[in-house]
Amino acid sequence: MKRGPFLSITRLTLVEIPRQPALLLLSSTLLLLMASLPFLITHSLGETGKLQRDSNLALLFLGSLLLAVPAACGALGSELRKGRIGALLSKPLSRSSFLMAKFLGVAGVLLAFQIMAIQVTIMSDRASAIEFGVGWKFIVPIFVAALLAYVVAALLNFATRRPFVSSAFWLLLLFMSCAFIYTLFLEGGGDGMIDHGGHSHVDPAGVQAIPVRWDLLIAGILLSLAALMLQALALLCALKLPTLPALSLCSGFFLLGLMSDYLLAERAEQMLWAKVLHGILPNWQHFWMADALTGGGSIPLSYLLPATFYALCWAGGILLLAMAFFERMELQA
Amino acid sequence: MSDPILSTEDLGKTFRDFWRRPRARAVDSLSLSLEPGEVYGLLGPNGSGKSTSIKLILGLLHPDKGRIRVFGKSPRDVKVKHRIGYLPEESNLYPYLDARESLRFTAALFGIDPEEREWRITQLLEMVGLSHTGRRRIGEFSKGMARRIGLAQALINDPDLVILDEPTSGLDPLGTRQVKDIIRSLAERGKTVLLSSHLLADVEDVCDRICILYGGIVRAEGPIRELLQVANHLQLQLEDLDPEKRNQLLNLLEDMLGKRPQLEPSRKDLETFFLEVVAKAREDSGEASGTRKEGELAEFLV
Ligand SMILES: Nc1ncnc2c1ncn2[C@@H]1O[C@H](COP(=O)(O)OP(=O)(O)OP(=O)(O)O)[C@@H](O)[C@H]1O
Ligand SMILES: [Mg+2]
Repeated sequence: MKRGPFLSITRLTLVEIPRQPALLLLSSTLLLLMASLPFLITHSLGETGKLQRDSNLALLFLGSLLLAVPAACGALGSELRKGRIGALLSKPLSRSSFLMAKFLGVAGVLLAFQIMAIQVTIMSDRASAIEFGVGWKFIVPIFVAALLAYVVAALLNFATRRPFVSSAFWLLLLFMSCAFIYTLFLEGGGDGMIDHGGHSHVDPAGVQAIPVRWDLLIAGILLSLAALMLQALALLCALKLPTLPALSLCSGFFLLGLMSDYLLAERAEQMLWAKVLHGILPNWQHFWMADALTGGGSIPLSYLLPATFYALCWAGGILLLAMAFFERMELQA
Repeated sequence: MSDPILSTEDLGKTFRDFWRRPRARAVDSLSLSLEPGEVYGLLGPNGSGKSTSIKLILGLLHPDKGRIRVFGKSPRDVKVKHRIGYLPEESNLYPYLDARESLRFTAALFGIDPEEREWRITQLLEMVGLSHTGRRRIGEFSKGMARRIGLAQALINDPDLVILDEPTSGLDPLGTRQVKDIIRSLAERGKTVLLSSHLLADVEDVCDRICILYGGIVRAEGPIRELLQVANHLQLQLEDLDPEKRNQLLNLLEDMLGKRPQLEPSRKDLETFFLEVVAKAREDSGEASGTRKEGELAEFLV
């Protein structure tokens, strides 16, 4: 197949980013943590389901931030090294398409994480929807998928010398999706339940079907869109900064976006600067739909469109800024 | 006269710190002009601005002053890059790709279609003597091997202008000889080569013209033959002279010139000697030197 320079770079980035062990470790840990929440939370009082959903969605968002920065720094930092970038940009490849290809690569890896996180969120939500217990059969497949990914990656590495870390990452996506699809065919919580004593038993109340909450998918998509903004920011930072400073900067932005309403909403009505700042700063409130989900509420699809528009504009703006900066940047060839 | 392939006028570059204060003046008023089919050498001690000049010419750094034209266009023009091949000072390629994959990736950056690509890669690998590396990763390559793959990368698009930053650094004498032969053959095929080096013997063998930089300033420039001529000094070479004739000749010259000229046996240079030894060792170890195409220019470059 004939591949243009743009696609070649994107493809290579997709292979290269997940080579970082930190990325694989972080994403597996986050996913398994999300999967374990039903066990950790069952003892708390009150709205178990809500707490569990909120935490999972928050982990999805926070995880995206934590992954986006090393991914962007890995994608750019290693390229901007001496001897690499010069060889690349002496080829017929404009700087802006190079940067765009890198962004797509980062977004692709993050998308893989977000898909897995949404799947785990939905599965563990069903697991905790069972009263007085945990729906094992919704959780076990998650752990099996993770285990399989690691084992198969190790075998592949042994047999074909494929790099372990990046194959484990992509296999995790594959097996997690299989696990998710498998659980879609499961209905009730009955036979797979345990009570808190640890004994399996059949609970007549658990036989009823436990629905898949597809609105969690929409909530997840919204948060992934918000994360797209952070990814663009991470790429901009990665042009100049190493991972840790970039992470602090992006986290700062993340916090500002959390507090933007609290800090500025009132003042924005009186003062122009506050109004401008309130408009410019990313506002995660637009993307946080978890509250709407409690009490059986759902997210209107019509909400997705403006949110998508907002996120794309914001991310696009940051990317343009990054391109302008990169275009003028001096390269250590 | 044809237009120059590459020309720079009064090129200057000063590195600055964060506050825009000058830190190092790397290149100052560099004016070059390369004709088609010429091998041009940038010569100079460490830190004299050779690599910086090359990066300016490639549009990787921005000049403070002056003008650069490559094929009559700005070096930032993406189209121009189809016709340029570049070997960086340090080649820092993707360490986990093998030689073939790495060249495939480069070929994809040029949009070369797969059939053509595989053909070229096979030839290039033969040319730089890496066809036997198989699935070994570039990260495991020795410095000289990495250099060779870098050279292959620089040539995959059949460039008209080849820019090589210290092409022979890290290469063994055999590799050096091969690279020099490749450069000469490229020039014979009408390609223009700009190379930098501080290995004087290399430059002397391959370059048509050189300039010597020091502190970013051109200190000498011109065709290498002219620069190296020693005025009023001639050399006479004779083979298989028997002692009797030798004495006659010396007497004759002494009569003519009024003083006796000096006579010394010619020495081969170390490079020739080394290459002879290696060639012999190769034959002894059963490697048929006749079949290998190492060092011969790849067919598609012809
Ligand atoms: N990024 C940079 N920042 C500051 N100064 C630099 C930078 N790159 C190069 N220089 C300075 O510019 C001058 C020329 O460097 P350059 O790399 O062009 O030398 P060179 O002739 O290629 O040397 P070498 O033979 O060691 O490769 C040196 O004084 C160097 O210190
Ligand atoms: Mg140099």
